[in-house]
Amino acid sequence: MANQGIQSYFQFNNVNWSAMRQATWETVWMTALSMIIVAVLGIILGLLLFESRNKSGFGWKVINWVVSFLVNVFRSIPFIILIVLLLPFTKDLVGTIIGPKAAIPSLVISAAPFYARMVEANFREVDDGVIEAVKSMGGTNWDVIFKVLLPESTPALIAGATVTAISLISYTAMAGAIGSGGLGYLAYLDGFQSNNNTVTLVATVIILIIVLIVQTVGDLLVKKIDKRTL
Amino acid sequence: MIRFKNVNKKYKLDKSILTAVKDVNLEINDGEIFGIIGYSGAGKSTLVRMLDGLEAPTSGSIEINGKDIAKLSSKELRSQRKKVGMIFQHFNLLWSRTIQQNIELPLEIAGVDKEQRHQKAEKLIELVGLKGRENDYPSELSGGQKQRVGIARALANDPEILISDEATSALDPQTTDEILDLLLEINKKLNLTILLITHEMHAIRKTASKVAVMQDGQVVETGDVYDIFQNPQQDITKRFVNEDDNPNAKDLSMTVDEIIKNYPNGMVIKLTFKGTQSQQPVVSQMIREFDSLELNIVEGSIHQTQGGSIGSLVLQLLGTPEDQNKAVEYLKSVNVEAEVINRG
Repeated sequence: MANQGIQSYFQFNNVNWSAMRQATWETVWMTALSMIIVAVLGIILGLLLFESRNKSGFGWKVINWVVSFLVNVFRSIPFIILIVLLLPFTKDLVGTIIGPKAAIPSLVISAAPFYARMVEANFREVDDGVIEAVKSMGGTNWDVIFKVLLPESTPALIAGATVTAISLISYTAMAGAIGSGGLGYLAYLDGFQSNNNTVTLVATVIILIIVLIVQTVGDLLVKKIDKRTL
Repeated sequence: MIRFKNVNKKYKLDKSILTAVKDVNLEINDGEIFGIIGYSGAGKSTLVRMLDGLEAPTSGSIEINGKDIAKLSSKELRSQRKKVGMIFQHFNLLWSRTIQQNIELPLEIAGVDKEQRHQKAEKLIELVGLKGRENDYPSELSGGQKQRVGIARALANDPEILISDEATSALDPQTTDEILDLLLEINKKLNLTILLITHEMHAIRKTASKVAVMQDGQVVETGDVYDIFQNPQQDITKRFVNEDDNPNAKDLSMTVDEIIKNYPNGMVIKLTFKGTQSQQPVVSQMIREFDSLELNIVEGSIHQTQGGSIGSLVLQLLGTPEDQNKAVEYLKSVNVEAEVINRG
């Protein structure tokens, strides 16, 4: 029968293509929107971690401790638990707990700390000598951030964002399990629960294509921006 | 005028206190190229970091034109730093910026408008001989060219002082000489005070008029480069002078040993000529003066310093012992320094 064995992957007339298109679109914009928020938040948190790391003042120490603690906690919670844990918070924030919009807060809260740690590490890779050179020119801390730290680590920041975006895509699929919409949700509902393996396969292939596009665009951008080698 | 007065810098380590700079007193005049030489860890870099206000002295004061650097507010310090250009061993250029953008960076920080930034950068690129490379990135340049960009960048804000912190230490000898020539040119053209931090006596000899020798955080010897070269007092200074004077010291002592073996009756002497003496035929006159005298030339060299030239010649005198001794007396009488290395 059509619902068993390898053959069950290739029953393409069982696929609702307009639902598939809709789900693809949801996955793309869920990932894109949360990635934009993650990038902004991650760079700010990463900068806070970097700046507060070696400062001696009490205020800086508190900032470093608090940010580190939050980053470590939210990075450690498995995503599927986090999304359930944050249901009440999501309800208050976006007014609903189903659909793509409802997935965004958990996606951001789980990916931003991950990206923040990468950003901090990237900033630490920036040559101290160059930072000192800018200070010796009479540069302020803001000059150091905007003229050295950010431009000199841009390729690394983009490479990190690529990795983060790809994890976000897989998180959106996991969020499907509790009704977020998108390809994960479609694969779960139409594929798994309706025992329609072709839907699962098609959703998988589309996700692979999205990942491939993100990775390729990321790699090309890094290559274009990086002027360290010829 | 830069003045270091009783400057000390101590670092607290876990259990001990490290004294990086100890009781340093120096005066550096405007328009002068002043060398500070010492091996790594001697405290040279700490000294210049304090001059730029990147670190504060534990005690003592550092004044630039009467202003105490440690007493400036952070805003005053930032504007003071614009008057001090700095070049570094590893160039410290931003790889994400083109040559032109790197040179414009200090001007951006100083808030100079775009049009003026471009004009200034163009002039500086021409001054350091990099015309046509404006839009290249640092990764496309050689070490010497990168340092030229570093120099142009350091000059962007028309500084009064240029600090060169081991700026030639990562470069090959020929490129080092090119960069040193450029520094000399800039010093003369712009009447800029240059503070040259290095561990190479060669760089000091070629450019500086005055030098301070540092060891273990202290200035152990200071004075005119010319005097220090002729007459080094401290062991460490002698070592630096020798390294430059005679990089083949080992070869020389082997050659001397061999000559002594072949001519056991000869006397090996080292002559030092200063200034115009090095241009006079002292040695040929000496040979003519004493009938039995003959000589072997072992080694000779001549060095230019900013104070004049210094030559050295190692000879073996052959002939009767009497004439040998008289020859040394003769040399002393014409004011050539003669040091007997080996008496036959």
